[in-house]
Formats: sequence, structure tokens, C-alpha cells
Amino acid sequence: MDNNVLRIIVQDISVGVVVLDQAYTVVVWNKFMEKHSRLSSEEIIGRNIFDAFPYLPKEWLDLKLRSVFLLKNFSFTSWRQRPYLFKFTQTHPITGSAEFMFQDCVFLPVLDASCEKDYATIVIQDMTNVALYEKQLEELKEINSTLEQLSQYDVLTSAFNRRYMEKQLEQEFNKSKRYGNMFTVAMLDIDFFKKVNDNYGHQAGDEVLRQVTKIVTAELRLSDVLARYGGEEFLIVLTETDLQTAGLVCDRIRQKVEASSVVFNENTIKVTISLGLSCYKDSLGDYLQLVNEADIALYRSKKEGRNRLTIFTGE
Amino acid sequence: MKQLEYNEDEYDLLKELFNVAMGQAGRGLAVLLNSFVELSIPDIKIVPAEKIIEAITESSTYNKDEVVTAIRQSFYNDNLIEGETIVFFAENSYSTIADILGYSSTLNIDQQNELLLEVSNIVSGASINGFSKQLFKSEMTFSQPSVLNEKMEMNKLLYSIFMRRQLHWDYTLFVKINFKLQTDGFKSDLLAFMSEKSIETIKTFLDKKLELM
Repeated sequence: MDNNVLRIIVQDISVGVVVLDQAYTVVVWNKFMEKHSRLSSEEIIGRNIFDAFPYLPKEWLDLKLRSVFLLKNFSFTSWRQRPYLFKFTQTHPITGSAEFMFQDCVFLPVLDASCEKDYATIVIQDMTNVALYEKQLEELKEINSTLEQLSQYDVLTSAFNRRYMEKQLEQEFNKSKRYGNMFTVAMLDIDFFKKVNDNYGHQAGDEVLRQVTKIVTAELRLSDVLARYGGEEFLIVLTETDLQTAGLVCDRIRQKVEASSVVFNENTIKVTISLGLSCYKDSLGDYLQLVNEADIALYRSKKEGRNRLTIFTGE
Repeated sequence: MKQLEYNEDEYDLLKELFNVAMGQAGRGLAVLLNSFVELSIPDIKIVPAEKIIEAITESSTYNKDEVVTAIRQSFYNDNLIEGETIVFFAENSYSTIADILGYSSTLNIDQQNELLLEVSNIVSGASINGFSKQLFKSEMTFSQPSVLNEKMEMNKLLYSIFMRRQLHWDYTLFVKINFKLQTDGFKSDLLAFMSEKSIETIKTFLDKKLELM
């Protein structure tokens, strides 16, 4: 492609493009930069970037630029840690609520082979929309985690929640370390659950989760613990139970789910579940390792065709 | 599942290339950070997904219940190789790094993380790029580094990242490099993970080089 065409693209692209030489003199300043800095390229090209923008964090930017020139390294800044590099007003002057444009910047090493000169290119991306959206999401997450901490139950299924399960697992694990009790962990997940949500809607999916919880609870003893561990994923702690007995219980659960159906909005929905089992061993360092083994076993159940259970063997 | 493995010659050459790259990276980093940087001889192996946590914790700089912050970053070289790096930092390592770089050490959490992102990016960039230049004679492209997990116990962190069912791969080329900043006793682990496709590409390039030897 003609160099002139490339130049036009660089000028018109909707990200900021700044090129600096090794003395930090501005060599390229595209239209995005002109618009947001209110400085034309004639005004800034040939000037030192730190003279033109005294608010730039010199010491820190110097480290970045040196790593670009010296190591030929890429370098970055993110709005998450540093909201902006250049103090630009944001792009939604009427409807926006942010004071400045949030920016992600990439610093690239560029060699001009024709004159053997090294340059650093800074690409500046407007992240204001993403930042505002993520901040809202963050607030929601915080509220949710506060709610979760107040309760030990999962709101949707009334099974225990993950937090509570982790505490139980830790206790059960320590008990076994001390007294040598046997216990088994089963990880269970609904096969093709995403399809249920896609085909029948999320409310149908929720109903399926409640139904599975009901079936599992009916098969367990009072001393066993069932928790919703993730989206469509459950964890069962079978206390004082070896792998063989746990296998029988879990296979009964699997069969019962297979035989059942959920009627929702005149649709009859049938699902199956897959399970992975592992039991306590003295060689394990902590409960996380045990859960990981159950997860590996469940992975195998999925891979071998679903609607089945696998016992972790370590092979 | 196809069994992916390198033979002894291929492993030797791969280690050799990484060693040369580490030497160059170490010298560059020393100039940049005003501190002598020591990069260990990399530990390189192909690891199945089920064994990845073991591979990481084996001879790790950190204990399993140590609180760490992890920084991740993706890299690729055209269609040749692609992968990710993870660098772990102990809870107060930001203040050591701030000292080395001559920054004030009263930093808020965003500034602390930014410093860890910076060091992680510089060390990953220098090491992985060096390797790329050794093997492919061309530079690696990096994406923005991000905080994978902030101040979390090492094993909780690992078991949440590497849950088997969440991984879309069966094997990875795993590289572990220990790095130290000599002046202040700062040390950490840089881990690199390369995709299955990359394992094959690297094999092809290694074999080409071996033929010429």
C-alpha cells in the first residue's frame, strides 16, 4: 500500500497516535490527539513532550520509554490503575458523567530502517465507556458479595452457598487429618445446561437447578452437605462415606435426574448430570486439592460422553 | 489425545536458546532497573493440564499459603506461537521495587499494582522476546498485562485459575524462570505457558536448527 494512504489512516484512525524520538521530541501527532489536546500538529511537532505537557509523570514515563528504547519492549498503561495519561475531557460532553477521558495506552518500539533511528509510538485508546460500565458492575458485585456473606444459603436453590461449603470442607478435612475419618467429595454439573437456557429461557434453567437440588437432597443423609458451587455446578460432601458407597449414592442420584423431567411453560425439559468423585487421603495437603481431584474426575465424565460418574484414580 | 513430546536433542537446544535469551534479558534489565538482575536457568517441560498445579508449586519461590498478587499477560508471534505469562509477587514486594526505582513507597493499591504490572511487563517482555528472537529471528507482540488476582493465598489462586474443566487445552509448554534483583534480595517466579499449537511449531523450528548443526 502507498505510504501516503497509510499516513492518512494513521491520521484519521479513532485512537491517539503519538510518535517520539529518543530525545522525547514529538514527531507524529494525529487528528485524535489534535482534537482532544486542542493542539494542532504544527504547534507540537518538534517540541519535547514533557515541555508541552508539564503534568505528565516524568520519572515514571521515563522508565517506560527507556524500556521501549533500550529493551525494545512493549509497555502499557491501564485506566484501572492510572485513569489517564493525557488530561483530555471525555468524548460525551453532554450525556457523560466522567470528568476525564479514561485511557489505555500502548507504547511500541519502532525502528525506521531507512535512517536507522529508533522511535517510540504511543497509542491512546478511549476507554471511558468500558470504565463507566465496569464501575457499575463492580458496585453490583460488591453488593452481591455482602449479601452472600450474610447468608449461608444460595438464593435460587436454597442449597448451601459456596462460601459455606468451603468452610465445611476445611473443617471436614481437618477432622480427617486428625482422626482419620473417611469422607468423599462429589462434584456434579448439569449436562448442556447452556442449551436449556438458550432454548427455554433462564427461568426454565432456574427451575431445572431447583429440581436437581430437590432430587439430590432427597437422596442424601442429614449429615451430608450439598452446595451450589458455581452456575450449574454443585458440590456434595458425603461424611463418613467411602468411595464405593458414595459411588452408589451418586449413581442413584444420576439415574433419578435422568428419569425426571421439568415442566415449564408447557415445555417438558429433560436433563442429565455428570459427576466426579474423590475421597480424602492422608497424602493430600488441603481441601482444595481434593476438590481439584473431583473436578478432574468430572472433566473425564464429560469427555467420555456425560450422564455418568467417574471416580478419581490419579491416572 | 495426541501425545506431545520433545526428544532429548530438542529439549537441549530449547534450553540453550532460553539460556542465551535469559543472559541478554538479564543484562538489559540490569541497565534499566539499576540493579543486577539474575534470571535462573529455565525449567522447561511439556505438562498435561491435570499436572499443571503440581508443576507450578514444585520448587516455587512461594509457599502454598503465602499471599501473592499475580499478573498475567498474553503474547504471540504472528501465527507461530502464542501463550501467556504469569508473574507472582509477594505481599510487600512493591515497596522493594519502589525503592529500587527510586519511588516513594507510600503508594495506594492502584499505584502498587501499577508498579507490579510494570516490572512484570518488563521482565516478561525481555525474557520472552529474547526467546522469540533466538528461535524465530523476529519479535514477539504483547498485549496489555492485567492483575489476575490481588492478594490471595497461592494455592487458592492456583486452584481457581487451573480448574480442569475451565481449561481449553490438554497440554502446555511450561517454562519457569526464577528472577532475583540482587541488591535487595527481591525474588519472584516468571511462568510462561505456550499453547499446544506452539509446541508443534517450536518443534519444527528446533528440528530445522538441529539439521543445520
